[in-house]
Amino acid sequence: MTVVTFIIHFVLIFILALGIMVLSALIFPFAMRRIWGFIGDRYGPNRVGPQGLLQPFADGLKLFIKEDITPSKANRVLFAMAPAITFITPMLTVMVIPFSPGFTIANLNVGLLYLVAVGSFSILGLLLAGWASHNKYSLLGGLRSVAQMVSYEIPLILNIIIIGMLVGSLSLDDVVGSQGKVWYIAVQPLAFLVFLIAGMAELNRTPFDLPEAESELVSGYMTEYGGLRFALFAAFIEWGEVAVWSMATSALFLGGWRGPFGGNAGWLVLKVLVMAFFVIWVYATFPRLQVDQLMAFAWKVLIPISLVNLGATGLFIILMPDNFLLPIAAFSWVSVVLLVALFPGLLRKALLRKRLRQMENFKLETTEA
Amino acid sequence: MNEFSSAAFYPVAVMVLAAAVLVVSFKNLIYSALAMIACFAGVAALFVLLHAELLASAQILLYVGAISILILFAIMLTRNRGGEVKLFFHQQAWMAIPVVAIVGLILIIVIGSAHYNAADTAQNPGTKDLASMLFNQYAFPFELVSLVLLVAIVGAILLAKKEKIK
Repeated sequence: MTVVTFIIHFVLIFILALGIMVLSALIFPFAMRRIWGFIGDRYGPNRVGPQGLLQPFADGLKLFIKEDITPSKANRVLFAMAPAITFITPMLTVMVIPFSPGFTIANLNVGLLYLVAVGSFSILGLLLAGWASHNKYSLLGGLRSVAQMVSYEIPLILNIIIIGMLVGSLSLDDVVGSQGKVWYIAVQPLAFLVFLIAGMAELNRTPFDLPEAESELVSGYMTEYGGLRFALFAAFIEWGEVAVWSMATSALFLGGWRGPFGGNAGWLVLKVLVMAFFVIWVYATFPRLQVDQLMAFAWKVLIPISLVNLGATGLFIILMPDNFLLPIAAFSWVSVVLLVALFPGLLRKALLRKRLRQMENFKLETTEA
Repeated sequence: MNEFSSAAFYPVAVMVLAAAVLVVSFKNLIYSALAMIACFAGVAALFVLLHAELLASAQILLYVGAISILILFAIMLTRNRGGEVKLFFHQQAWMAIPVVAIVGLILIIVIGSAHYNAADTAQNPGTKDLASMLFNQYAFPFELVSLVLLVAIVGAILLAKKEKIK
């Protein structure tokens, strides 16, 4: 590859990645408000253009003509750099997504690992945004988001490893290629479930949106951002990440570009839209987790489940190297059914026990004092 | 290495070295940590130029994603913000010169005298080969390393755990 072809490729890839970000910023926030309206039995924005379709442009124009404010005590360089760093993450993730048969920008042989690795840039950006703003809410939001994303990265990685074991390769092209007969959501529903939950936490979406919990932290790490920079965080980055994460989930569990009548990029787009709808639906349905429950849920529930699943998957692959999909599917489905049936009761008991212990400790403390 | 890789090597190498110098010369600890991240990312880029994608991904995942974030986290939680900090290695800059010179000399001698087999460097071990080597040939040292990490985790939990009220 010469330097000239490199530059041409770079520009084309850049336009594609940026296009995905811009499209998701235009479509998803508007779709979210309309779907929220539908779920809450309201109208949602329907005044600008037919059915309110021009609303995203009106919002964009409004944010564009706002004054660009940097707080006087903020660290100017980092304050400006933080959104840029975060913006890069989804654009980098696009590189390894298989869009249609034979079209992946970079078919890395470590695509699965790359997927997790570039995610760390967004953590860095949020942390810097929180710190550079010189605002206690921003800092708390930034720290919360880092603690949360680092914790939930572990179940995410463990479940990506499970898919890697099923495929026998770390390339996303191979992952999609091997789902010709059956999608991995049917083989490993347990891994899909955990991946879905951990993914929502990675995206800082409800019920895991503690970093920007508006009732506690104003807007978390983006409290001090206004105008276009706020638009970058609230529309482009958040929803670009949702789009890219949906693409990755589709590639891992839902067969990527595969579908009836020959696979092409249209199926991938459809799956991304369905996943994004799911995210919005959950957003409108569930309340936010408590901050102590959030960490406990990752470390005491998701990680043990993922580890057991990982061990069982490995065991089946070693015991039955030729035909391991069926026993793994049986194991996974049975565990999902058991979990759904038993988990709420167990959780309730555990929380009650904890509350009792706290009350006893409180009694002891007060009598000692 | 093809034409592009050899053309890209020098800018990346200069970036890594410049970032490394900035790590010790910035007065603001946060900037130092950020320069360190740039340094780590540059090393990952060097791995990519050598077609070692696995190493590059691991470098980003562990050094940029985990270690640097942890360091930033620690600085933000412990330091007063904004204040310029005098680092202890700023006071010992003169002492550092002979030490760096000696280490550099040793590295130049060792690397210069090693003989690299051209076939070895061209043949890039894939992820699969690396995995089977780790889990067969080097299984014992690998497990030993994980034991060290386990001990570290248990120790960290012990230190962080609140003492129970009796």
